[in-house]
Amino acid sequence: MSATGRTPPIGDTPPRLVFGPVTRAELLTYSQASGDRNPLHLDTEVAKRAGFSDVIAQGMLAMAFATRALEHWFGIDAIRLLQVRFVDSIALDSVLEASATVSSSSFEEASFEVEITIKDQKNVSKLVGDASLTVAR
Amino acid sequence: MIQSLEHISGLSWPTYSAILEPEKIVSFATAIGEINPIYHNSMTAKAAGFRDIPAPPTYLFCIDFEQDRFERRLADMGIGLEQILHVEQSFSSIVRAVAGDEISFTARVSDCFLRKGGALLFVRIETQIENRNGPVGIMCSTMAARLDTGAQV
Repeated sequence: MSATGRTPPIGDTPPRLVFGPVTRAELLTYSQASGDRNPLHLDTEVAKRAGFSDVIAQGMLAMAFATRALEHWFGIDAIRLLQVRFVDSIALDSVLEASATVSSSSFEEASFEVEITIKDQKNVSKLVGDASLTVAR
Repeated sequence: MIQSLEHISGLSWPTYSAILEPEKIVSFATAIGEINPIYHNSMTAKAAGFRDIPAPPTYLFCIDFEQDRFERRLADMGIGLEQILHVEQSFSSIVRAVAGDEISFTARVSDCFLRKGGALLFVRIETQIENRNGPVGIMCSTMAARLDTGAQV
């Protein structure tokens, strides 16, 4: 945990975090734990009919990785708002890397904002988001 | 059959409640690879100042999927699960929900529009979340539905 008791400076970039590779078993486990039974994430034939070469990861799994990264960097219970766009589908075996930059910071309000990106091993953006956080207790 | 934009944009659903079960929260934490013990152990969570095991931030979204609620909402719009892609998601968090909390969810369509000459329908669903004491946060999900099977999002 970092940043306990003080806001990080604008431009601060926490160390990148790696997730994955994304496996079929992981997609099934996420489907069962989340209740998202969309076959696009489980059934190769359905994914092919939708124009993909195989099943793709749940966007919400990538968003969960984003929240894990934010809590790892800035503390459990720090996130006040997170907005993400799922800008590209995440293929099987993707190795995902989360990075972030502090875009604004208010010492008086003990709050700050962060731009977060998740890219795959080909450096293609998969998730982009903005988060508002508060200084960890 | 896809419903009209007027019909979809006016949709809202009755408030429903769920008690957050610790076993399901732990399963979810495991599924997202979260190993922090506060998401797995009640004693550890309490020692860290939580009332009980906290729900991971995106966990409340999963309650939407219980009891086919998500599929039924899509059916109310005339959209099939195989037609949609999740394009945007947000949540705001006022207080952290924890295991044992009774949480209520009130969802409505907050935006709905066509793109690509009517080949794609974008729908945003906003869900207000409360516990017994007041607001917990708000979730917004934006889905794109392919009305023309060849359309690329």
